[in-house]
Amino acid sequence: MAKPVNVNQSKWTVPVLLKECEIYCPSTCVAFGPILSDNDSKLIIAHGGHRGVNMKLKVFQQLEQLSESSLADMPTALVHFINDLSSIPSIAVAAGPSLLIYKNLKPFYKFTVPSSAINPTESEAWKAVVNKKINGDTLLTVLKRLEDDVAFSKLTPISQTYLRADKETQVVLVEHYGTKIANSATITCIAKLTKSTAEPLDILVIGTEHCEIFLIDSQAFTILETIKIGSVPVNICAYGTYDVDYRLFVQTRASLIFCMKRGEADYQPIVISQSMITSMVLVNKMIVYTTVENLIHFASFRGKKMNTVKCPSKIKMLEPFIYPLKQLAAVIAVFDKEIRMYNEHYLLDTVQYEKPLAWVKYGCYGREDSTLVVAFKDGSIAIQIFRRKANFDTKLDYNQVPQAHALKLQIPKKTKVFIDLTQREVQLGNRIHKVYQKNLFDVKYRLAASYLELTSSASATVSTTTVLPVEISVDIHGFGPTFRMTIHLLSSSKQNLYDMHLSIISDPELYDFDTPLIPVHLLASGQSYSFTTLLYCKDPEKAANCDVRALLVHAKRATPIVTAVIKMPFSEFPLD
Amino acid sequence: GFFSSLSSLFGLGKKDVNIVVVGLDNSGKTTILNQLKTPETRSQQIVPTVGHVVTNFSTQNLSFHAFDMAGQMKYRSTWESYFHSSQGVIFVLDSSDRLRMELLKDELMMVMEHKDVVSRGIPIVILANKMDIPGAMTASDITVALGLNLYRSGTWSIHSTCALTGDGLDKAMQQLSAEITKYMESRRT
Repeated sequence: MAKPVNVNQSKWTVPVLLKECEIYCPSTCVAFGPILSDNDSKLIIAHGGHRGVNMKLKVFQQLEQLSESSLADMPTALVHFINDLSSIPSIAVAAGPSLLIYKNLKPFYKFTVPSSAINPTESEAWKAVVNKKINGDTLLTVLKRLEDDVAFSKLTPISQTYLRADKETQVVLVEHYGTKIANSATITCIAKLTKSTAEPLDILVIGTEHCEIFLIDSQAFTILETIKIGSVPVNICAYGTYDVDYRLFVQTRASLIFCMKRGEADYQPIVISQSMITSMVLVNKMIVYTTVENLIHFASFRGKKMNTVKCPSKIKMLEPFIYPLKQLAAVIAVFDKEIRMYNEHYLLDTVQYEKPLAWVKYGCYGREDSTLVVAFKDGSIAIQIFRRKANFDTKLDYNQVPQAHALKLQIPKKTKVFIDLTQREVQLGNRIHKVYQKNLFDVKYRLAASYLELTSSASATVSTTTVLPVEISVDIHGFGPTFRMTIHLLSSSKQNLYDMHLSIISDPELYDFDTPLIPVHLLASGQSYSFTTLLYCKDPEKAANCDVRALLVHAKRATPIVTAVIKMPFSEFPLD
Repeated sequence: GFFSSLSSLFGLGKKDVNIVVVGLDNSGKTTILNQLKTPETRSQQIVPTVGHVVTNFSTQNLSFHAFDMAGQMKYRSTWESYFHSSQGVIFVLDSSDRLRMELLKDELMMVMEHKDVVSRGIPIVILANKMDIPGAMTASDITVALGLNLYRSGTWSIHSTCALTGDGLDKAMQQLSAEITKYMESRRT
């Protein structure tokens, strides 16, 4: 079920499920707060329903639903606020271009965003169609041309709907809404800002589709300030108090974050993200935002990036966490089946669930200040409470490296010998280098000299090429003056060798060969080959002997491939 | 001995005992203690306790000094410092508060497994208060929900009570007095 893994070490109590609830709504449509006279904090949810059916404002107390009331329009956001110190707090539900205010769970007031200017051609066309001067098709053509000329987003919502609707709906639209065309922008986001610490009333901050931000006095519902920015706001975080000093952090659809301070007119984005920003919260005087690249960025209020967390999978949303008793603050990141808590330096906690999550909300529910409400994709909602004894003592690094890499190098201690040697190296560095270079040159020179000697004299079995490794061995049979010489060749090179000759050289005064040059057509790798030749000692009476050399040569090589030197025995006298 | 039984017979030298009354906020700790006082000393209005309040009352053979602890979250960490000087613990809970049953389990375990409670073996009486509220859990339901049926060490007992009428309180207090007397006897030997 909804149980997280590792309950015992968990910083949260075992989740308790709300009874008989099925909630589908975005995380912006959830709030905590007391709304009745009993002062008990309730869970308030604007339930989106299913395609405009069953849209409800639901209130939960303990584990049960306390009340529900129908909503006329699709809710986009919800906020719980105080607009009167002497009576109970209210709820504001943003739906379309209006704010619906509920007090004591009853509709109390409806605030609609003021209309922006309507394109003159557009309003004329609508007037004409209502007065039957033109028909619906002409209106469609006019609107289509306007769409190309101005932009779809600059048209009124009714025209936008008209352009995307089918024939029947278009007729209905003209009949019902043709006469009262307004260009009230849809509300995209809502936030609240405390008026002052002495007077804890809330100022409502709303962002609209027309790139405007309104600060609204929640007592009289008058607009205190209008701020125009260059992009559509989608999320607002407020900090500070309205009367003293405040900052509004506005995340826009163009992945910019603006900071608006009290008494400043010029707004420049403080964060410009290359990839799309998906969520933004304020924690501990820091802006924390996520991008589609599975990154969580921690930035200062000036927009300077302090740290970045690389996450393994998609981050659904962020939620701020504060526990004032122990001065703990963190950000809760929601993944598919787990939540993780981060601060600007460490990963603090991971809680896993068996069901995919939808959103979480942290705050005061009932009488407990640190309650986490977890909503799952299937519509169920669970409640967990932060344990009193829990702490953030176990910290993990964000971007964990494998253990072997994290090991510290064991650097040995400095011994006397080490220090002496180092000193010597520092003082006599030049000389040491020179001596070394001289010795190196000597070694190279001697190597070259002996190699030259070896190849020119060819006095031993020397293979001059490493590319063609061939072994040679020679047997001498007989006592003389006729000897038989057998030469064995074994090639261990990878490919077969072709067109070589075995040349047998000696002092022509002493020996005479039957075949001084033996053609070797093929040396297959790993095979042993034998070649035989007869040699005669010319004058056994001289009792002289000399070396005989057998060379394996190739026509295209200047040096022999392999050489064998044979020490001939003294020859016997001929028998006859 | 002889003198103590003699003095208790006269009701003069009732033994003084300290007890700690703990439990989550809004569970009815102060209301229960108010109910245990003599009718003429009861207060009419109960407000959330801040810090702690000492209440005195007596049963047949014991004179209680009850430390009525505040139950709000920020005061819960102060509970444990009173365990070592007391001879009994009363844990009050709200039987209708299903939302906080898991938190309650945490808090109760912290009390029952606290070193000053475990090592001294002082009796714990759990009062499942507010049993009059419709839909409240019964004492046996709560025993299971809190995992007490698996908890065999230590001396604990659970009683359903209603602090407003005083139902079940007498029985619970008799049990507590008996347990405390037994505990004091075992300490003396």
